[in-house]
Amino acid sequence: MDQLGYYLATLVVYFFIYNILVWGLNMQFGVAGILDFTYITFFAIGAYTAGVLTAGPASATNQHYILGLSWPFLVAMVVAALVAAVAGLALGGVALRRLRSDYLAIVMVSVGTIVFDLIANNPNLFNGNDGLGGVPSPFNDILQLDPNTYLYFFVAFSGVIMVGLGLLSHRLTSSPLGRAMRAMREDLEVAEAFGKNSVRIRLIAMMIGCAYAAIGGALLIAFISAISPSGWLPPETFVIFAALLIGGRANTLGSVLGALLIPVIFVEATRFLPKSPSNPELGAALRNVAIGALIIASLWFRPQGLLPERRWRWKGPLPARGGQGIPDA
Amino acid sequence: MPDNILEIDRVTHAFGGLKAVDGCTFSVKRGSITALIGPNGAGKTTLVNLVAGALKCRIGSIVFDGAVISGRPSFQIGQRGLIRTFQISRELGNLTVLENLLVVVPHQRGEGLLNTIFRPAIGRNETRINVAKALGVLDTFRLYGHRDEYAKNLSGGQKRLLELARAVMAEPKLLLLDEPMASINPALVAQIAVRFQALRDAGITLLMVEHNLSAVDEVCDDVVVMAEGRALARGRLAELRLNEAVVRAYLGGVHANRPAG
Amino acid sequence: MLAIGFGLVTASVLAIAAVGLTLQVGVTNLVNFAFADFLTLGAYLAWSMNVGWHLNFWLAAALASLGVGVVAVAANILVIRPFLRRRTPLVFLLIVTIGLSLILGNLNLAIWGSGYRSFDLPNQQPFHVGPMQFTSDQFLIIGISIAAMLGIRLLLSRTRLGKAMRSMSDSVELARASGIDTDRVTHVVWMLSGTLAGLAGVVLALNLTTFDTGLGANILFVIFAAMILGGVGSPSGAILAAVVLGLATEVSAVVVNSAYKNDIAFLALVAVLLIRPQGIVRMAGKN
Repeated sequence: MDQLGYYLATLVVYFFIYNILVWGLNMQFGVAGILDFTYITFFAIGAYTAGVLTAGPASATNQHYILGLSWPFLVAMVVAALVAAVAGLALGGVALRRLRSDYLAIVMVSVGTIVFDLIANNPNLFNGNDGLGGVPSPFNDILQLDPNTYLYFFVAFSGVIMVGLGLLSHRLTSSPLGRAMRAMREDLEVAEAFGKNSVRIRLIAMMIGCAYAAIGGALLIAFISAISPSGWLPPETFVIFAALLIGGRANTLGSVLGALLIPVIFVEATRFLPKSPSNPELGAALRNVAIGALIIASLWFRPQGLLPERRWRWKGPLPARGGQGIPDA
Repeated sequence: MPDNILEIDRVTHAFGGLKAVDGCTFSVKRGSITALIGPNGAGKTTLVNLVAGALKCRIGSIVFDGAVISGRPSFQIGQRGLIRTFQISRELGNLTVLENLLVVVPHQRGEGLLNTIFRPAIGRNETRINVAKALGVLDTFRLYGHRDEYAKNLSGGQKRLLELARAVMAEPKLLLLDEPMASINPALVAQIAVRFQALRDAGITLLMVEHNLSAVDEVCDDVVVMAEGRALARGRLAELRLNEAVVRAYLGGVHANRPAG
Repeated sequence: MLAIGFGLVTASVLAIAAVGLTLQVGVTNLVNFAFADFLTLGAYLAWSMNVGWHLNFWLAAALASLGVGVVAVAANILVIRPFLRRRTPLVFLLIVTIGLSLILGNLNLAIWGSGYRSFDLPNQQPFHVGPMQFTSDQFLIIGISIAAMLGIRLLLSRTRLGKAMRSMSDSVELARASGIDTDRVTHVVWMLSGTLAGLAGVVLALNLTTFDTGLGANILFVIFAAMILGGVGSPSGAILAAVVLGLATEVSAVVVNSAYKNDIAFLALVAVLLIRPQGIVRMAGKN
């Protein structure tokens, strides 16, 4: 396989992972209206959990981390999703009961910052700022593939997971449960007046989103074998928000489009701009300026996103009309 | 079944230092159409919010269909069949008109997480049944042609009708209506009144806050007058017009077609 | 004991920022996530004037603070107000302020780069006040903070503008109905809040001696904590909360790993929000 093929295949994997990430945030914000400004934290929980479950004991490496159980990847991935869902349940269970959006956002980011500080400053947990590395590639102990072939395998493997999660996301969104979530998003007080338990329904949205984030994190750490705090700084949440807003909220394909445009095309394309020697951060900084500008421009010019939420229609047969003979209002 | 579907007993609620509702006590008979009238500032909408659970009732008690609901969260009250409408229409804007009705149906098994993931047919079947019912309700309220429009795009009068249609769809035992006739085309008011009577005949109790006294006269069996946070008098409208205290509360007389305000 | 001295300085810095934020949120009812970037910008503008143009530090500080005030007003006019006029829902307004924060914060990084900076100041001899130890600059910080707080207090209680701000804080509709030019007052509030933020950034950078572009972001949530603990819209509450938090974070650093200093404030914030969402010092109207 040539360099270009290798590079493109890697991009495809990133694309698949970002699809999953955007779908998760879509469930929380696009469908249920929860302003989760610390979404990336659940990605990190997924990555670290999967990492320490699949990696071997820390004593065999010169890192420090807990567990190290050498579990198979799929099991670790499911556990990671569950751990993140429980974390989302804990955070949401407390915060979603009372707080209006702006205070909720403050709490979320605060909790995310605390978690970040805890992980970065406690090297015994997940090897701190040096990052967690040496995570084995899924299934490769059985398959024993060379790196090029393995890459193709991982593309297919992550693709299957992604498609499954996409179908699930679509099913959830277009179900009565999804409709109840959207009602919460539109007017919480009205939804409650009609008997919807807002805490329960929003917690479900929260937990599903967290699980998706965690699966994305698990796949990423499996793919690049490592993760460090610099890979999940708070601004990352907003790259995903940008993808969601630009691609289209509450729209499964809109999330895909957003994932393609922002994290993949935009971020990758700008990686190739020349670096200024006096200011190596310039490229990344300008990129983030552009993301901020894109978010604002998108909300101004096309708030519904490129692929807006699809209008729900009843596709089955319509019963014969009662025939009151009165014209409509 | 208890004779009174709703019993309000010495309910009091203050905003800061101001008592909006002050020891309000009255009951609503099951199967009646009862009006709650009174001058502005009498506390009617606050009382509606307290009964519906939008405001937490801390002083006094409210009993609905034999169970104490004061202090319970509003979604539990809604689940028990006490359904309210809002004075200013609160449609779910980015849902279609049909969806607005589908979402309010109570006790949907299709809203369970496990059902949704593993047995989506349950939700689909429920939706099919609910769609049929919703279309009938929409027809009644003359919104059938607008069923696939986003609720936010309806006209003001259509939104009021949607407000009522949605409340009916929620399978209420008691319908708590906050100025249901406001902003509705006068030609339609009579037809809405007929709908209300049909609902009553089907066993639903209605309690409505209204300023449109001619509509009240036509439709309501019973009228409760509220003033200064408490129930002042009760009876048929004709008697109440002769009641001195009621007349005083309205500051100078009750007129047949007093406009809202 | 030393920690209490540090605590007072931190509290002074925090107080300036918290009052700026609470005034802005109280009047506009919008939590501005770009506030941190106003602080950072203030520090860097002052640095450029002080080190680049060789201006006297305190002059640079004053000019930089005013500069940030101008940027804040511009941000409101160009970005936030158009969305407000469109009646954009609150969740999207918050995202807009995040976008603004991304732009301002990263422009800062793009222009000045990521290295550490320091101001050009004569060396300081520490002196003692009782058991506490300060440099003369730190003492000045406390002094400036007190002066600024007094100024704000006078503004709010004695001037018509102050009264207008207080009534807008209670209810914008009522304020407008009683003839207050809410647009003009809003511009003034943004200018004031931006200036205070810029000033806070400068003195924070001064206190830390070396600083980088993370200056504002590192302290933003402590400022939020102070605002909420003190009750949104209440400057005196914000000052009180700033003192409590400033002392608490510095004193706790003696006991706990100092990397967690800010986390103590976050935990206090989270606890307050969950138990008593309207803050500790009650503020009429705003919730």
